[in-house]
Amino acid sequence: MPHLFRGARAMDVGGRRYPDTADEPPPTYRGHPTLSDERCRGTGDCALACPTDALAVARRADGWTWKLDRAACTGCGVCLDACRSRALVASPSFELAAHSRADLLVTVTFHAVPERKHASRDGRP
Amino acid sequence: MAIVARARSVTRTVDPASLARVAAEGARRGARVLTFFGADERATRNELGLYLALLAPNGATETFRAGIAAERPRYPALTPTLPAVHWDERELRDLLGVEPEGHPDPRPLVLREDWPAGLFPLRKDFDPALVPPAPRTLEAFTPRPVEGEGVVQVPVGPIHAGIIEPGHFRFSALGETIVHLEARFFYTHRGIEKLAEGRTPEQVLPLAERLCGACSFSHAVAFCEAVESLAAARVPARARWGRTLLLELERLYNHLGDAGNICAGTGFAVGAMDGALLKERLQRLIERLVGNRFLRGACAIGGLRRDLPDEELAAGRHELERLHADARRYAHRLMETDSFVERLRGTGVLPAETVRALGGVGVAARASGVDGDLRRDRPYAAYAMLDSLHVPLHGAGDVEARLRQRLAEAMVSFRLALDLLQNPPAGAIRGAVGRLAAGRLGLGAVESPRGADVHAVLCDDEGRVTRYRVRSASFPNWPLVAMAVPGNLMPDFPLINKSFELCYACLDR
Repeated sequence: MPHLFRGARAMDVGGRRYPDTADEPPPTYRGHPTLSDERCRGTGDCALACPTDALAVARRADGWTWKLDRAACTGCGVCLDACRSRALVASPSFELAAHSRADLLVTVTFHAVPERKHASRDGRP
Repeated sequence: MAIVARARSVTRTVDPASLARVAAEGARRGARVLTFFGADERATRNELGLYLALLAPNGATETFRAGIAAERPRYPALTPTLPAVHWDERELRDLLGVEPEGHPDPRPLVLREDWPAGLFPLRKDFDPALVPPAPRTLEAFTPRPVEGEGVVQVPVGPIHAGIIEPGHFRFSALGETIVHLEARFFYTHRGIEKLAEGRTPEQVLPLAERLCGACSFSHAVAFCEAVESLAAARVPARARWGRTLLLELERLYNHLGDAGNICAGTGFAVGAMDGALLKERLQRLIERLVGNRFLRGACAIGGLRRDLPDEELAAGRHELERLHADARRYAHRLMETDSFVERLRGTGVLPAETVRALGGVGVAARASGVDGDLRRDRPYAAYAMLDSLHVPLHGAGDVEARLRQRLAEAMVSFRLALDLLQNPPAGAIRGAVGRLAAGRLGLGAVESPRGADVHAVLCDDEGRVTRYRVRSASFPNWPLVAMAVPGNLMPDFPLINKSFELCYACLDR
């Protein structure tokens, strides 16, 4: 029997207390997209490219609304590549659980004021 | 690294009556079935199309198309001469409403008994908004009866105690000995092939990646290769290299995890835990390379989505060397534990003739001595360039052989991956993909950890998918499980099942 345990220690993937000592995701990890308010131009390229229709951009006379349904987002990152103004970055967050469907919706509203833009945000970024 | 472009295969048109002759002739020459399916082509050709793709022993892909009048959707079945397509033909009957005349099994395969007659989901005029009648009628599944004094039927599933996927197993047992097993699947049918219709290949790729519960990347590469074969796509050398490396890492985490699962099937906890540890370390390595433990989002049509970072490749190589040494020790520890090996030996024997007749693939086929590996027989990605590719072949066909086969293949994969990490080609990771040829059969075939995954794609002249058919390794191999079980004891079924370790999700689709 002892031969069974030989080398088991070398495998060294120990348990750690979560969440006190959560591992950081690797730099390649790609979570849900987050929007940089300054860069978004409201072109809707991200929404067009999204394979699961998790993104929607609605234009109004005085601006536009950017919406992300995190329940539908698979974190594929297609929107990041599609955005011409590089307004989207992949979030490093991997703790994606929410208490309600409403908590999974992210809405960013843009008001296009001449020379300046204001963004207001609800939902978790 | 040179780019090997596969010569575009020309699909031969045959009449439906001679399709069976073509199939029989192929079987006689030892050709293997890549795929067989039908498509509703009434809008463009005013008929239903049947597509058969064979892999000839010389490595050539032979494809055939037969048109069938929609008013009389029937043709002489291929199964009597080419039994490997027995499920393909039943699926064709269920989903497209084409009758294979002379098929030995008249029962539905995918649909249930209460499905309305004359409603075929893969016909273009099918309304996907329709929902099945509720409440569904009770199970009317009629397994082939086994009669005799003392023969009892034991139904198991489709809902199981663990978190495995749904499947119904109906055992006919005499005492503890299984006399006959009938399995029923397609409980996780998500209509992925129907969902793909009308979408662009870019939109279908995320679906292809989520077909399978275990081999995302193999399916992604098979789909991309199918689409690339329809365009004048030149996949750059670095992308081919990256695909090959990632495919081998996917094989490794599956093979070592599956070795652990076989241990779990015998209650050998130390072996199960160590297998799970090796799998976990490989998945962490994969996550560092591509950002996802299941390799999702790594493949793109024309190459790779993102480049593999150099510093992660260097760290990955170091970890892979350590894993190689640990996996070798793990394999030795398993095979020198006699009490464990004795439980596997002679259990769940699958004869080579059965594998050949039913077109079995992958680990299960090779462990029964039936040679076949698409990496060598129909090279894709960068496999044609790999000198260290060697395909082990065990012959006993029992659970022990399937375990030894996996362990031996894992050792080859370590060598392949380490060799690949030594010489990463520089350059672009994505090539231009030209216009997709409309109405032509696009094929992508990848040797996944379970065997041949074959994706077939047909497009319209706007480059949208009109028919998508996936024949994963689990498709020809599930019937083999039922053939390996009779004569064994009921308590050995979980072990035999784990030694095949097939997927329900990519079978059901």
